[in-house]
Amino acid sequence: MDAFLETTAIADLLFKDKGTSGRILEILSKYKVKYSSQYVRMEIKRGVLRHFVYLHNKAVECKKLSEVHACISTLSSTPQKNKLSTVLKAIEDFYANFEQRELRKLPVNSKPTEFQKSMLAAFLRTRIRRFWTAFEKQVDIIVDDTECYKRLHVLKPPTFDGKVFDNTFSNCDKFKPGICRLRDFCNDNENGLVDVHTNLSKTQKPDVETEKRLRAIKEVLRVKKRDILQRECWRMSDALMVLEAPANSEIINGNCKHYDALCNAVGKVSVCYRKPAAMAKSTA
Amino acid sequence: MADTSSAFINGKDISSGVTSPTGGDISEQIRSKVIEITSFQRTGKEPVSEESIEPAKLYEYFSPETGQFVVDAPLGLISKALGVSLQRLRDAVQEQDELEKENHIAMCWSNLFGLVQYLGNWPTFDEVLALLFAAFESHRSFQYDTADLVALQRVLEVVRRNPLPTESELLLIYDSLEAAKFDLNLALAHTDLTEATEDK
Repeated sequence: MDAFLETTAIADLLFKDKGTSGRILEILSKYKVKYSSQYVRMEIKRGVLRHFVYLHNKAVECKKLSEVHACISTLSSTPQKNKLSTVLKAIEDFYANFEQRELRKLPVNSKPTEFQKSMLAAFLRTRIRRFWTAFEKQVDIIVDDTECYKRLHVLKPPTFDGKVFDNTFSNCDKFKPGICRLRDFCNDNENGLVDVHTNLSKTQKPDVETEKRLRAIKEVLRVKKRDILQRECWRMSDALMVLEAPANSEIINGNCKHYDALCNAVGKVSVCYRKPAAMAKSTA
Repeated sequence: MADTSSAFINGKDISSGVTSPTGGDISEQIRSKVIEITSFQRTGKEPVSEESIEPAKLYEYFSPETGQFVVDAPLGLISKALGVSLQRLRDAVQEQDELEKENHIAMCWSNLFGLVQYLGNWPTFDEVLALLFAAFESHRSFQYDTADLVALQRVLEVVRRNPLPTESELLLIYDSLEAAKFDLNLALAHTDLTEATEDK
């Protein structure tokens, strides 16, 4: 049996602590061939990496960490604001503890004034730089059935100009038609999409993400000749990855709430390395 | 007895009357440097050497005040400090007594913490410090085994030779520490990096 790593699994494997990445590695050790996809790389570039690059560049531009916090608070999207604040706080606290415990022993004139700010930028820089090559090392085969950002506009790693990163991520809609073969992929996998839609429709009290996914799949199935727009593509993302995963592979994921239902629909196995949120709360 | 023999550059005796406080062979060191320089001037080729020059040596100059070779350029000082930490690690690897070994490791880190005074000057050097400090923090409550110490040694050796490591050297440093089970991403342990966003 083989394994397919979806976006959260790859992100956790590369950016999370040994407790989490170790759990994933332990699961992976049981599989023969490990897969992921170019679509996963795209999702990380537009998600985690975009957050890291934003924080890094702000840390370099701002004189104090308080200014970085202030910048985040002016963003209009609440989920993005929360995500960025959480990551910033985590790294800030980590090095604040270090500073309090270790650097207080140093002579005053040898202490840098903005230790945490420098550490934040340096910490993120290494992770951003490392992602592109590290991603390829985690798996044996990177599938690309949707040919995501393969033509007309190619997905590029963030580039460092010596000070800040450029992580330009263009909306693929402006290059359509012909930038990917997602429409062909969905037509080829019509039965799978119908099964996913049928199965998800049975969900009692679906969450917002599931509702959006259902609507997007319904629209894609309804109009079969039109190019699929980025918004629909992203809303279907988890379903697309499940369909893209090779037939004999199990889906290693960090979200059983969504993946169990998706995998059930198409006869694949969902292997979750995280406890469901409700269970995690009750055991905490 | 101290050596007082002379060495000449452009006909001037640069070491006459200079004696090493420790009785070391200063003129011999100067002479070997002069030979290297004149050899370069004559042939236009750099003296062939199998060992690359460490920054601490590269920035070294002879101080008539102290009668010794000294270094005060930041990169040279960084390299020198890393050399001191590296020696502590080597001593720790050799040490049989557990507490003595821990003492060497504590001194190694204490010396490395002093490098924060150079923070904010070179991005790649900052990255090395961020990685080393993350490694230290993640290992706070663990005993260092030989594999950990060897990995740290490897890292310090790379940085001592080049305090401003290249991108591939940085990745090597990251991989060496990670392979030795240092939890470099401990800072992000309780963050959810890919939670649903509004565009999903």
